[in-house]
Amino acid sequence: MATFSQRLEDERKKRGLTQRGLALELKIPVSEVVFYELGDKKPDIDILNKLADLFNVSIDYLLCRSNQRQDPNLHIKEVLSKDPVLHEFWEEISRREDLQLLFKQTRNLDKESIYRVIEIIKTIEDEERIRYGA
Amino acid sequence: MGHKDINSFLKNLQNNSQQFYELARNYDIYPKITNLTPQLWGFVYKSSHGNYYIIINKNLSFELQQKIFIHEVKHIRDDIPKHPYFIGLNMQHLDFERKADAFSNSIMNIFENNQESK
Repeated sequence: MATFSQRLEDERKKRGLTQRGLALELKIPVSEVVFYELGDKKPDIDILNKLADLFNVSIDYLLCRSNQRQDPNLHIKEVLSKDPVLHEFWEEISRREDLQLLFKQTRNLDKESIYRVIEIIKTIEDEERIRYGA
Repeated sequence: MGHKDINSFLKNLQNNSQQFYELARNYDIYPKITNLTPQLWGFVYKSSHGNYYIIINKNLSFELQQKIFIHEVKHIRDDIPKHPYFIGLNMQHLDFERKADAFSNSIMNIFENNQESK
């Protein structure tokens, strides 16, 4: 079973970085990187974010909570990121099991279509909330 | 929305094509004809309260909107889809799609024959 330490080492090597090189990228002492890869220490949230950005993978992937390198819904999140209300609504419904197929198909749509689809779903849910109560 | 209601709706539809969407709402079938991008014909959404909504691109011809609507009503009646889905997105080859198309065409033919006889 994969571990954070292994994933970190794999990703570092894929990018052709030495432990020292990675430490420089992260602006941390090289000993920290060594400890992470030995499994003797866990990184804090800021370092995790930096690692995810640097390797272009999700934090879930780094922590071995997922085997998908990228968050499959990243494209949808990016489209909605400029609209806080719609983004919040998306966060709320994105865990619904029955919507996963729709979201899978949504990933292939252009930005305007994704935005419109989520907007319509929100309108429907808002209308029903008024009709039936929360 | 129960099976009985949909059957009754489809039966009444054949004589009331003018009040198409108004009739649908009376049977708790929720069509939404709205502005969508050209990439989308529409989609079927099951709300968290369990109601089905058939969302159709208003830029399609009225005839095509009707055809899609009947096609999707048939799916909801016969297949009771648990998952929402987009209409016409890489699914045309499936057998149940062909059956729904044939069903939709037969209803549309009844519309046309009714209008010709008036």
